[in-house]
Amino acid sequence: MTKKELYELFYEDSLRMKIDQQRKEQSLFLLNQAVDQKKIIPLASPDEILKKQLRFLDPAILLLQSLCFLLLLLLFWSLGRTENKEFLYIPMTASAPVFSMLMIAGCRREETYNIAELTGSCFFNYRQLCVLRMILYGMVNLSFMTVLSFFLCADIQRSVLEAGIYFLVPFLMTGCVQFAILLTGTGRRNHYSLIAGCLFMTAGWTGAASFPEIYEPAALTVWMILLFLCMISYGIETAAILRQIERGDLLCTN
Amino acid sequence: MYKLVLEGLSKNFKEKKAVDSLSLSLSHGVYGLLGENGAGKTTLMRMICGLLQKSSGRILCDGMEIEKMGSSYRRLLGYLPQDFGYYPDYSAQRFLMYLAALKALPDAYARQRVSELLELVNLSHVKDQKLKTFSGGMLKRIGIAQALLNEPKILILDEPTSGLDPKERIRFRNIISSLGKDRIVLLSTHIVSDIEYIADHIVMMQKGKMAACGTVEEILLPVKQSVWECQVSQKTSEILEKNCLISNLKNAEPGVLLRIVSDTIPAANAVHVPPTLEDAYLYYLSAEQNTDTANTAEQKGNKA
Repeated sequence: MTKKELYELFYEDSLRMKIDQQRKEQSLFLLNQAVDQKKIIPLASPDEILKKQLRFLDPAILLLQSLCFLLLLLLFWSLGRTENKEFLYIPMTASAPVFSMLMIAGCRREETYNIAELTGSCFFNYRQLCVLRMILYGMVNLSFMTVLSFFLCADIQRSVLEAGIYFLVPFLMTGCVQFAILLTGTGRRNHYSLIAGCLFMTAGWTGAASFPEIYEPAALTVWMILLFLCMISYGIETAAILRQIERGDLLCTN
Repeated sequence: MYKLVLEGLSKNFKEKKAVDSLSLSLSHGVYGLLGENGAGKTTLMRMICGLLQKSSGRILCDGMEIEKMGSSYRRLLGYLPQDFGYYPDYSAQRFLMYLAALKALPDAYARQRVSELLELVNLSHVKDQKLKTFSGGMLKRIGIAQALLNEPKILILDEPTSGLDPKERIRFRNIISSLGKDRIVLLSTHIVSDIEYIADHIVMMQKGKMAACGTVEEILLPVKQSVWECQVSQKTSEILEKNCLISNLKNAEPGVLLRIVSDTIPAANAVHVPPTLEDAYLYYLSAEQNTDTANTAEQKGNKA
């Protein structure tokens, strides 16, 4: 007998069942009394919990990300009208570090304002909150970079995948640098070191992008190797940071 | 009622042992955690809240390890850290709603609860003002409000009255006192008077270890015959300050009125006085220091 058949049997039976209304009300009253005595605190549903996390993402970070995205779209559109398409590479690779820094700033919001300790009594602990924020901001970033890749691929005469790689590698590399800074004590205390890291990577990739040879199809293998290495490094550093958070090293510095 | 048991809890940092094999059992009531700066109070509280991983030992809530309980343990907790952070541009109401969201409280319940708590801490009239405009006392009140959002059964307050004026401190004491009836309240401070009137149990910590634990009466019992008051000359007072534990010094012409904690009579005209918690605090801490000094001297002697 399947579950559905069993369910149907019980359902048919329940329709024939006579419910004593008085007993029903009494049971409900006793149940409510027991709940009141135990003071069971209501918990939001998983959907509601996720919606609330989305609602309380830092609006400043989302605004900056959206602003960067729109500015880039405008820039790519105007540069795409020019003869020399090689200028497109510069904002393409130089903007990815900015997206990375904004994502990390968004994830560290509680830490920045010294609120992270309060997560000791929250539904998600700080480690879980960081992971959730990384996923949410990461999805926003990836969406923006995907749209930009589609927008650019025709102008730079590359596939969407190649255009995506030209965004992703500097994004991940900047993330690796910023995580490395966070893993040091100085980096955790001094927010300017993260900004400096981002500026350094932006300057570096701007310099690299001024050599259009690196965007030739022949160099794609190197990009793929870099992407692979960055992904591994990103994963290792993320795990290290989350381990530090779990130990309390990131929150409890005094 | 929940029961929190700490078994052989230790936390080592690179340079030192912040908490050293501490064992404690907490049930409902207000527990005052006393200790000087660096005694390990904040480290202990962070471990209880799961923010800091312990080096060894166990923390059990109703017989279950708190690490295994996860979010179900955090739902029982309310925590006010020593350095309470906030978003300056958020209003009081929005900030509490934000924290209610982090605590996964449903919206309707959160709104009601935030309203009740703002009323309790007397901040309803400023609920729409930005937190950056709040005074230190008002921010602490927001802190206590957020700690109570999820009607916690275990309330951990780390130096909640530091930086508050006497009127705010009294208000805080009254709120905390009312909370201790049906929950565990663990309140840390190095200001003895903050807990003298409201704590059911006192836990004294020094250098990561428990120096004393018990009700106020039990804590005061060993010190009952060890607190003296005497009026002496300035010169005698200087000598006594070097050799004895002075809990209070007051200029009282023609000399100085001293309150001394000592097992032996410190001056010929000294009289016994009833001890206060502050006297007991000094007594236990100096006893621990003397034990440490004796141990160090013994170790040096053995090495020689």
